[in-house]
Amino acid sequence: MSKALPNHTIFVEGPEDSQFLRELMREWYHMKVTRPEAEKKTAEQEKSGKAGAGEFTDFMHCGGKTQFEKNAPAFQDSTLQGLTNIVFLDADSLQKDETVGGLDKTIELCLSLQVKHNITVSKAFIFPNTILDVENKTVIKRGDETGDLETILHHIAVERRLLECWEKYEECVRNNAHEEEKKYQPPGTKTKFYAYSEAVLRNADNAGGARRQYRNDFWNLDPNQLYLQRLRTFLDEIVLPSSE
Amino acid sequence: MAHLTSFGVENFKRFERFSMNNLGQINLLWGDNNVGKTSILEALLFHPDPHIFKHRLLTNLFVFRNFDDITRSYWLYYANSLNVQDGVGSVHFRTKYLTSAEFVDSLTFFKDSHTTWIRADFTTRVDNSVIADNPDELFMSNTLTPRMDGTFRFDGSIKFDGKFYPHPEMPLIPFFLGYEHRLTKKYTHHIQRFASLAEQMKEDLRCMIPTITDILVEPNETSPNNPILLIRQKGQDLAMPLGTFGDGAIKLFRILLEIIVHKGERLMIDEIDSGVHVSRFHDFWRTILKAASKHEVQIFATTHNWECLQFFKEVLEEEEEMQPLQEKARGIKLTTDKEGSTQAITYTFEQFQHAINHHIDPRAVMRV
Repeated sequence: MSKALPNHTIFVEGPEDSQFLRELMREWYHMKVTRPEAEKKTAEQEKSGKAGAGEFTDFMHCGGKTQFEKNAPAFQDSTLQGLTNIVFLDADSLQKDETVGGLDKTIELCLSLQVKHNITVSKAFIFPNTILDVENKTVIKRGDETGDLETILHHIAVERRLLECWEKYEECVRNNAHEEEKKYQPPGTKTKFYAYSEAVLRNADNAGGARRQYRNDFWNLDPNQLYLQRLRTFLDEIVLPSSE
Repeated sequence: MAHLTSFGVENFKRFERFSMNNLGQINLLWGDNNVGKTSILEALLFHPDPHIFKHRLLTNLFVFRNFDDITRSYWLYYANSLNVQDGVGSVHFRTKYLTSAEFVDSLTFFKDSHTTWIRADFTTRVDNSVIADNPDELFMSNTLTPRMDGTFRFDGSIKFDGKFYPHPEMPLIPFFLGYEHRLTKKYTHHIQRFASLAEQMKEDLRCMIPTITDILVEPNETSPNNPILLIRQKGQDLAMPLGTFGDGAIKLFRILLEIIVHKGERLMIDEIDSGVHVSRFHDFWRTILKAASKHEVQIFATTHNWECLQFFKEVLEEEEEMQPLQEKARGIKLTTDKEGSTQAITYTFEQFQHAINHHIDPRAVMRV
């Protein structure tokens, strides 16, 4: 299998990001983008570590915004091979992480990678809605919007009633948080969208690696809607020159 | 010999110029086919004394690679480019290296400080007109001329009488090397006479031969000059030749032996995982890392194997005994840049650990 994006390496925080982007690229550009190595593996293959090893890679998983130093060799490898490095990160919020949370700190982080870690990045998309041209130090943003991939998912989910169910469940957990000194905590937003996918797909077999499937009937993938416009613009700049 | 912290080579095999930095005591190299892994190990045969370097290069060709032409093929094998004028060829290798500060005293041979690139050049005429009977004469006509800048120039003719005397302590283990008689001689000379080393060797071999109780050296009736190594096992009356055991056992034996022989120096191991079953990898790595640490040997090993990378990480994560080695361990990916030149990317242990844990396959090919 060859690379879908022969001139780029896309670095994302984790597998949820690469799966979403891969599905969008298939839906919007009819591209078959390679899956990261780890996602190709069945449980047994995972154990042996053999599946997919050494194949061409479009996506690399960084493991998070604070992990850049540890990922420096992968960035340097890509740069040496003449590829352009693209990064997708969550803006998160200051409440979530005082060090790198929030849009401004995330932009600052991206702009400092070259100096701090010898990491060259051309462009970054900061979920949910910010485009950062690292080379030219220009940014296109909507206010100081914070959030993450799940912020987009929240806005493009079609079955709103299911999200309301989840909100009630979260409220219920919170209300019982200190009942009899037991401390409960609502599950994270990633879990919310796994639950959404499993509910709409109505198939327990999908509870494995492909728990999030972005089918048009359950997700509004129209690129002209508010929460996908910027992402479409950003991907156009990467994908369209590659497919010419 | 000091441990290297940085190493570069010019005009050597596929490299016009190559360097790798931030080296550790334990260096595991990987990369695509034809990227130059074995060539780097051969370049690491470098020694500040050019006589020794040259002897090692020749030994590699004659003993490991079965070359039978000492002259032009020698240079053609090692030189990236060869100058020929008036029927006389010359080749110019250049290596440059840095060593760790704690070993700098041993580098008084060179006048540079340890923070400066140290260069040793030598130029040799390709000349097969003179034959030497005495192996000591092989390099007798060579001259080593110090220069003002602290480097040395090496000039000399190659003399060869058809009998080649290999360098006795080659710090390179090619992947294809199985059992052969020099193994017995080395064991006899370096280990057998020392009870503690012999006992340790026996213990370490248990990960490949769990039932081992003793290592014996016995005369070979059919070839008196070549005694053989025998392994005695629990519950078996008859000791068996080491050569009858699998490649993995012989390989481990050889690596452990060479680690002791090269105490305080460096050892290159090509395709360290070849011949070793995945179920043995854990104990295999553990044994080698412990031995290298104990004898302060700097290791440069190559692999293609995911499990080899994975177990390297896992063993270094284990308990207090292994964890101190983490800061001395490096992963080195050899990759080809857009111009086709080989480049080295060094992973600290933390970076290597992160890549394996997040399934960022460090062997992944990014460029089509």
